[in-house]
Amino acid sequence: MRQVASILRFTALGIGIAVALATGARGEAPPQRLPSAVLIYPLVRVEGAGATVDTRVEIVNLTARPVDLKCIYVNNTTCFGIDFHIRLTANQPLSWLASHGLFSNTSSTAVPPFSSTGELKCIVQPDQEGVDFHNAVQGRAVVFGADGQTIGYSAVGILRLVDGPLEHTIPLDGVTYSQCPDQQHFLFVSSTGTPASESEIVIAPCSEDLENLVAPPTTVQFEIINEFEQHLSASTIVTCYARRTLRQVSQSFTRATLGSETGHLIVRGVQTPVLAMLVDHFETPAGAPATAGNEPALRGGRSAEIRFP
Amino acid sequence: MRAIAVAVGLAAMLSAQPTRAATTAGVDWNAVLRALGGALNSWRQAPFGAQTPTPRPPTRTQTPPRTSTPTRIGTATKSPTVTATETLTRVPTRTKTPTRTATSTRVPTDTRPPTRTFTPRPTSTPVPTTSNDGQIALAAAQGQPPAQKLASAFVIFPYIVTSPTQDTRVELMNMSDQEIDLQCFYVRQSDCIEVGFFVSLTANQPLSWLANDGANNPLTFSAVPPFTGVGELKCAVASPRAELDFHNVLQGRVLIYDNISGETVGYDAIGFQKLSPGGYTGVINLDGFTYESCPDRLHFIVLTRQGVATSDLITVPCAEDLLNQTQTETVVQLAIINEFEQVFSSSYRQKCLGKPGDQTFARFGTLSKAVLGTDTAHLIVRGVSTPLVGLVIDRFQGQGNTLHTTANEPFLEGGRDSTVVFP
Repeated sequence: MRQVASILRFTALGIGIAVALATGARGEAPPQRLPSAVLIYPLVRVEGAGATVDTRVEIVNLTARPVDLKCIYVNNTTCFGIDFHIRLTANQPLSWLASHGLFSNTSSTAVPPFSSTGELKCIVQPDQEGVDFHNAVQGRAVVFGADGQTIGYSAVGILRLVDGPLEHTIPLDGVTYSQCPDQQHFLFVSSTGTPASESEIVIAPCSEDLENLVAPPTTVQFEIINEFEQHLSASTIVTCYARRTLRQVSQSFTRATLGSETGHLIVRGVQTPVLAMLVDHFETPAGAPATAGNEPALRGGRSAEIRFP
Repeated sequence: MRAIAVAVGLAAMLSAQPTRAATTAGVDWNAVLRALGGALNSWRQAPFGAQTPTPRPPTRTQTPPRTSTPTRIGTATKSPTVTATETLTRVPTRTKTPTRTATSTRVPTDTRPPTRTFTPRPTSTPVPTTSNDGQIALAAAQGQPPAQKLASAFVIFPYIVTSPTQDTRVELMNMSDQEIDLQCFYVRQSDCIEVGFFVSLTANQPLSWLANDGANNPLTFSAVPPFTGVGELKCAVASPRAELDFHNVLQGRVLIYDNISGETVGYDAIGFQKLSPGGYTGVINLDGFTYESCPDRLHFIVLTRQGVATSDLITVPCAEDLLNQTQTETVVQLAIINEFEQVFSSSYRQKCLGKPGDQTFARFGTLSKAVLGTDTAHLIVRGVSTPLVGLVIDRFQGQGNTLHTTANEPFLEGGRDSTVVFP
């Protein structure tokens, strides 16, 4: 009877959360891996001036024209932004170590070194107003540590949808630019309880006022579904940036609670849409620690706004 | 003249034979033979050997086998795209000055129209511009690439590895609130042999298994055989329903790890959405109309080879006829651009999934820092006779020469038709 009651409770909980999440899954999720106008790197990490953990930021111009970019790095502790400009020649790839920065006297590119964890946003500043002049770049980052752990991921790309000039306010509304994803679906490996198997989640709000440095908090809802289709839930509050272990969010991500090796996690910001990525940590059968970046599948879209200085 | 005389003599002898027959038997044999010849001619049979060369063209009897060949073989007719690679006008692009400041002069050479006029069913022919012939890096690609990270109807995992020391965790996720069935095929690199199986996922269900072990769940009728060697995995949503909401429901992911060193590669499956309503037939037309097209070009930002760390390039043909076990063969063209906008190229021929060792960057001398002069390169990959999907396995040395490994998924440009046929 206790098992039946437990199943009924899980089912009712699941239906409730599914209804709550389904109501917001409208609009269009931003298609990825295409030439984009806005790039968002949710995880740039530097520790020990790069000696412990460093990040190689990579960006590529996918057009046969030069492209100018305005970028801003937001520190996770202060939520302050550091601005810089990048100029890419036709088809040019460019990369730099976040701990070192970059200086090029042949192009107007200078990137300051970063010294903590945070997120990076870059926006194309087009010469002309055509959509093709906006949708020009793609990016990638590789976070690597002295312990050999490596996290590679692609920047989240936002497409420009209509011709027009770049303005200080970037409306991610599905009309001018593609919307922010409403739901983000992850496949994750449940934690076995050892520190080496504690996966992490990184969350940054889509909406950001970097001109006035206003960062209102948002509640982030988590729905967790195991292989038996049982639903669990959790939530947390994020102000401008969060990087936590899944265990810090909830015990539901452990194998002991979830009951299966793999889980389906749905992440949704309540007040504003959020961008998230997981860092998978697990142990191989021989006990070796393993790490990989885990990017979500996107569902639905919601409007947001980025305001640049 | 001697040959003509002999031929006239033979003709005279043959024409005399029926006359002798008619006189010896006392019957009107001419009439009998004419009647017999007419009857047999109506059956397309000649009465005598001497008459056989004239009546039927031999090609008529060869027509029936044509009906047994599936029409899907027509996808192989994309080979005319080879002509685009034969042009050597790439040379002028090298004449650009190596300094980055000179790039502004390239703007006028961009012959692309200011707006993209994508057609719903893009043709597979390359853009016939004169300035960019043969240069896969700079000519514009046509068609729409598949939008990624969305709920899809067909997914491709281009790289699965099993060995005594390595294993792959394959992860699938139902993103809908309906139960779905999947038809999957694992194709082994060593011999291109496929192994098929079905997987059922309940609403929102995640499922994962280790490729070395396989999976078996009698409750959901899912059974996955263990995989062997290196290969690729393709899975399609097998819904009999016509509505798109019953097809675009799937996403997948893979974690490849070395049991001893912990070297890990995690990547998302390449997804294709269904675009036109209709039930699953086993024929997946990636034509930009039924399903999204295959990407024409794959753009990678890669780390150039330095020291002992060598990256790998994995390419898998989009088109695959598993029904007839027809192996897809194509030339793979590479364009490599360094940070100074200097362009290099390379190419290789690939049949099915290629041979082990084909993928290493060490094969391509240009993908090293010693040649390119920069840490990073822009690598553009294009299959000539069939489009490709793929990924790069980045390997590099970090702090204290620690070896690092990570997956590097491509950015997609353009779209070309291809067809996957499941048995």
